[in-house]
Amino acid sequence: MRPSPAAIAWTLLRLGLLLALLPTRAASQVPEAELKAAFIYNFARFTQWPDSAAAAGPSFCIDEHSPLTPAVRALAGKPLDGRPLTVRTITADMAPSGCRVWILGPASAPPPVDPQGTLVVSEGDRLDGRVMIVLVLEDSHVRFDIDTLAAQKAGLRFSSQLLRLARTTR
Amino acid sequence: MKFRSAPRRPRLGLTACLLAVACSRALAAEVSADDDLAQLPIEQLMNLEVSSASRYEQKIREAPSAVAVLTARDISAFGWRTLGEALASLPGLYVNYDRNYAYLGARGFQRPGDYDSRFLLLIDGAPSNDAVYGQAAIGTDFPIDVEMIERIEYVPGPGSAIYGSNAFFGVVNVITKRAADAPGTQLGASAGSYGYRGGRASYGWSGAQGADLLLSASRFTVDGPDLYFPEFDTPDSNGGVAEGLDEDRATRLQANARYGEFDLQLAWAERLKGIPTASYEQTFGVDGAQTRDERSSASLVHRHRYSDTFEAVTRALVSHYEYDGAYVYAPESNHDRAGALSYGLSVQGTWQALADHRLVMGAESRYDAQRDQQNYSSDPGQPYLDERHSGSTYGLYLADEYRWSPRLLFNLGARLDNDSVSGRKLSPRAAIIYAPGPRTTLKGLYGTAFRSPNAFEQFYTVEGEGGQRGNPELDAEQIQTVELVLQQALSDRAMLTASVYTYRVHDLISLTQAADGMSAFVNQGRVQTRGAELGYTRRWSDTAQLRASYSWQLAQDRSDDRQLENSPRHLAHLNLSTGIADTGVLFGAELSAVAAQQGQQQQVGGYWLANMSLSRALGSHLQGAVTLYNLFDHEYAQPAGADLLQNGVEQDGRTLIGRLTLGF
Repeated sequence: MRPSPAAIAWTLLRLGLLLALLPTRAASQVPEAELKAAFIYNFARFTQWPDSAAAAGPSFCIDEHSPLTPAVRALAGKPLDGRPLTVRTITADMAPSGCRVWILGPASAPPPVDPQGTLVVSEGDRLDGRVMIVLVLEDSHVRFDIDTLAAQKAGLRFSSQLLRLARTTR
Repeated sequence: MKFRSAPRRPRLGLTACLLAVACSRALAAEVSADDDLAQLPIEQLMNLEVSSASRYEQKIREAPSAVAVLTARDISAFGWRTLGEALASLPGLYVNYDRNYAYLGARGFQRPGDYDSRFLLLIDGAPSNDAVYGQAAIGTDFPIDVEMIERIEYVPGPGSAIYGSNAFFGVVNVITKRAADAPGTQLGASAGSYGYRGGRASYGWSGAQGADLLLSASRFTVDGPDLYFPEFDTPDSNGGVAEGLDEDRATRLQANARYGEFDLQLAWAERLKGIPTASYEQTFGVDGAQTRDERSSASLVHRHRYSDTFEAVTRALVSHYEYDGAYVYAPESNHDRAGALSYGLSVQGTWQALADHRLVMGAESRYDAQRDQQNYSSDPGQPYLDERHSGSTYGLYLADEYRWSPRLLFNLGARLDNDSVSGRKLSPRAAIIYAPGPRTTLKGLYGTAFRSPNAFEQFYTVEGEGGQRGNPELDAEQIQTVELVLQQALSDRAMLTASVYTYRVHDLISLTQAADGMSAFVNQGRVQTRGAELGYTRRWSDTAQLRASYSWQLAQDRSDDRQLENSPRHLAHLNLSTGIADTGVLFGAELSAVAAQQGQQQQVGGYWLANMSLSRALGSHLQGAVTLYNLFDHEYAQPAGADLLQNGVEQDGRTLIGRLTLGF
C-alpha cells in the first residue's frame, strides 16, 4: 500500500503537534580523549568483577603511548565501588591481574597472557581475541564494540544496559 | 506510431529503518568541556560529538569487501546535490546522465539504457529497487533529500550471498539522519544558476527511553540550461537548441519515529523531469515531454536482543512506485506508465554461536503485487501495451564469520533464492581476512551474484517497426568475481588501499535486434572485467582530510574482446576538505577525471571536472554555503543509451548554488 498524500499529511500533522510541545536539544562538542576516558570509567561501573579482582582497590592501567593517558590520569581519585580509583602506567613486566581496567593505545601490544579479572579496553581497529571493548569513532560520536566471549574467559560480566548500547557485540 | 523500445523507467519506494547502532539517544543538556564527563550517564555520552574525528573504523577493516564510507560532513563539505554525485567520488564509480536519469557505473560496467538495476540500493537497510525496472534511483529521483543523509556506505562487489537479486555489482546503503543528528528546527533555502531554487524544513526531537522523531520536507526546482544538440541542427528544429525543456523538480517528505525497540519510517517523493533530448525518436524541441517518478514507502523495524549472544532484526516493508512518462510525437503524445507495489518481510539474526563463530542468518520474502506496464497514445482504454503481472521471491541465507586466530578471519556465506521469475539460485561467497600486523590487512574475496530479469525486460512489448518484444523466458544473469585487497595504515591518520579484481559475467541480459526489426532481451552476453584500484586517505588534523583514488579497468565483451560501451579505461578522484579552526569555515575541493568512453556511434571524449565549496557559520543560528560546480566551465558530454540519437549528451557548464540554513 502506498500511503496516500492525505495519510502522510495527517501523520505529519500529528507528529508536528506532538513535537511542538516538546523541548529541543543541540549537539555538544567535547574533546575526544576526555570523552573516551569518560566512557572507560562508565564501562568499569557497568562491569561485574569476580570477587578476587574486586578485593583489591580499583586501578586503571594505561599504556603510556596511548593518546588517552592525560585524560585517564584525570580520573584518578574518582570513586569506583566506593573506593578511590588509582591510575598506573603499564610497564613491561606488569601483569594485567593487578588492574581492573587495562587500556591499550591503537598500536599497543595486547596483554601477554589471557587476563583474569581484568577488563581490556582498546582504541581503534584491531583483530584481537583478548580485547573486550574497542572504542571507535563513528561520525564524530564515540561508539564501542564488545567481545563478550573474551570477557567471559576473563570472568567478567557486562550489564545488559552496556550490551544494549554497544554498536556490535560478539 | 513510431517509437523504438519506448520509454521505460522505474522504481519504487523505499523506506527506512535502521539497522545501525543500538544507541538510545537520551535527552542531553548542553555540555561544555569543563563539565565532568565521567559523571554523565553513558546514554548521554553517546550523544556527544567529539570535536576531532580521527582514524578508521574497525568494522571496515574486518568487512569482507573494500567498503567505502561517506558522511554527512562530506556531503556538506562538497555540496553534493544527489546521491549519484556523492557516489561518483568513490574509487571505481562513475555516473552518466542523459538529462533524464542518472546511471551508475562500477568498475567499467554500465549497460547503455538499463536503469541501475545491477546495484542494490538500501535506505536504512531496506531495499529500494522497484519491482518493474529494478532501478536504483541515484539522481534527483532518489527519494531522500541529501541533507537528511547521515552516511553512505558502498560495498563493491557481488552481494547476493546476503541480499539476493540486484546486488550484482555493489550494494549502496544510505543511512538517514536520526533526530539527534538534526536536532531542533532547521529551515533551509537555496538558489543558483539555471534558475535553481529550493527550500527545506526539518524538525528533530529526542526524548527519554530512546524515543525520537525526525520530520523533513523539501522541494527544489531547476529550470536547466538551454542545450545544443548538433544531431538536430536543422532550421526546422530550432537549430538543434532545446530551449527551456530541461526542468527538474522534486518534492520529498519523510518521517522517522523511534520508540524503544521499534523504528517506523515513512517516505514519499515525486520527481518531474522534462526531456530535452527527444529520446525514443520524439519530436525535437517541443514542450511537454517529461517523466514523473513517484516513490513511497513505509517500514517498521523491530530489533531485540534475546540474550547476550543472540540479536534479531525484523522488518516489514511496503513500497510503491509509479512512473508516468509523457512522450511527444507532434501532434500526438504517447504515455508510458509503470506501477509497482511490493510487500516485504524479513528477519535477520546475529548469533555468537561458539567462542570463535559469529553467525548471521536471515530469511526474506517479498510479494510484488503489481509489476504493471502500460503504453497508450491518446486513449488509455486502447493501450498498445497493458501487461499486468505479479511475482514473489523468497530467500534464506547464512554467513559465518569464523575467527580462526586473533589475526585470521574467515567469512563464508551463501544464500538460496527462489523467485517466481528465475527459479532457484544459490549464491555462495567466501572471504579470508588476514592481519599480519596491527596496520596491515589482506583480504581474499570470492563472490557470486545474480539478477533476475525485470518486468520491463520480460514483458515490454510494442509491435511494429523499431518496436520491442517481451521475453518471458529470460533467465537470471550471473557474475563470479575474485578480488584481492590490501589495506595498509601508513600511520594513525593515513591509509592506503589497493585492490585487484576480475569479474566474469555470463547470461548477461542484452537487447538484440531480430530480423523483423523488433528488438528483444536475451541471455547472451559474456563479459570479463579486469581492473585495479588504488586509494589513499589521510587526515592531517582534526578537520583536514584528503581522499584520492585511481582506477584502471578493462571491461570486454568475451565474444570479440571489444571494450564495452560506457566504460572509461581510467578514473581518478581527488577530494580535499578542510575546516579553518574557530572560524566555522569548511572548505571542500573536488577533482575528478574520466577517460573517454565508447558511445553508441563513436567515442565520447574524456573529461575532468573541478568543484569547489565553502561553508561557514554566520552567527550562532545561521549557516551559509556556496558551491561552484564545473569550476572551469569545461564543455563535456557523457554517453547515453540507444534511446537517444545523440552520441554524447551535453552536461552543465559552470554552476553556482548558494544555500542558507537557519537552525534553532
